[in-house]
Amino acid sequence: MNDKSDKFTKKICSVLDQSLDDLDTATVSKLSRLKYRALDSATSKKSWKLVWAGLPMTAVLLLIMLFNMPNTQHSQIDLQGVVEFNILTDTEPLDFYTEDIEFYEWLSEVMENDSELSGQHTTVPVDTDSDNSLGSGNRRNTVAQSGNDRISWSIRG
Amino acid sequence: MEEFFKSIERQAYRMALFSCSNQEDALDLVQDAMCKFVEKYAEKPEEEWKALFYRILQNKIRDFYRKESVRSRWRIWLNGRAEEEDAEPLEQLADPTGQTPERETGNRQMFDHLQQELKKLSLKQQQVFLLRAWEGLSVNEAALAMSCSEGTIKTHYFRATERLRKKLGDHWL
Repeated sequence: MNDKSDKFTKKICSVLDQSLDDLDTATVSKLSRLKYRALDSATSKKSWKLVWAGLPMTAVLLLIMLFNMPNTQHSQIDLQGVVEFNILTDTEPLDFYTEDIEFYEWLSEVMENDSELSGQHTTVPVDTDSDNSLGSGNRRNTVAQSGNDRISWSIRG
Repeated sequence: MEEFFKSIERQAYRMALFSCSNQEDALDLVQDAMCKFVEKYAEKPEEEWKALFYRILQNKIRDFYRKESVRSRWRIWLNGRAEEEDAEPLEQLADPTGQTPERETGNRQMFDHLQQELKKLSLKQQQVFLLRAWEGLSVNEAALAMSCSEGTIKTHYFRATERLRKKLGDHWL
């Protein structure tokens, strides 16, 4: 048997329903307000949850950064150290790195410009690390010879 | 969610008011229930919302009722009215209908009479009756809302209906 079909229950329900319509406007507006308050509280709680959830991620990122930063510095120092070590152990005199190297850089730039003008893109790199077996005189001669060849080729071409 | 609250807010308030007999307390109970519902059960399927919401509300009402019983006993003890100790706490609370607009409505007397009789029911019988008869919850849903077995729901509902019929029957049938 359906309970609602009962006449007596129906009568009670109709009286109760009527009492809802008779609620004063102040109570109805209060109900409406607290409903939105409940919905808002849920939204704010959700946003706080997101913040709290993000905190561990931020902490982990910070930790990773903290652990990686000294390593990065260390590797930079190591690289610098290796370069200095190469200079010190090189057979070239130190003057080559302080004075002559600027000349070779200039010469390389001139030759690059020259090759660009003539449409050729071959460059003569200034290699200070390799070919250490050659002396500074030999190196100068080799580079100068290469430059002369190019200039004469440009004039002919 | 908003529509769901809109559909049940007045019934929920009225139900809470039957139990606590104070408008502000009833509003607080409804708000607490709504907040908890949104927080805990918003992700549940909509078909379960009604039963779950009333489950929260009934728990809130029961908690309130327990606290009010304790307060009431203390009040009686402090006032030295030991002879009233055995009385039901709800019966000792002020009847709020004297300040509500129900008095101004056409069926005021019927509602007052019904309210009076509903309050005389035990809390469980009152809740089961309102959930089943007024809210239209099935036995299963009412059992979920009341956190008890279906057999208990049937028993409470039968007893509540019989008692109300006995008290109101002469005038209402």
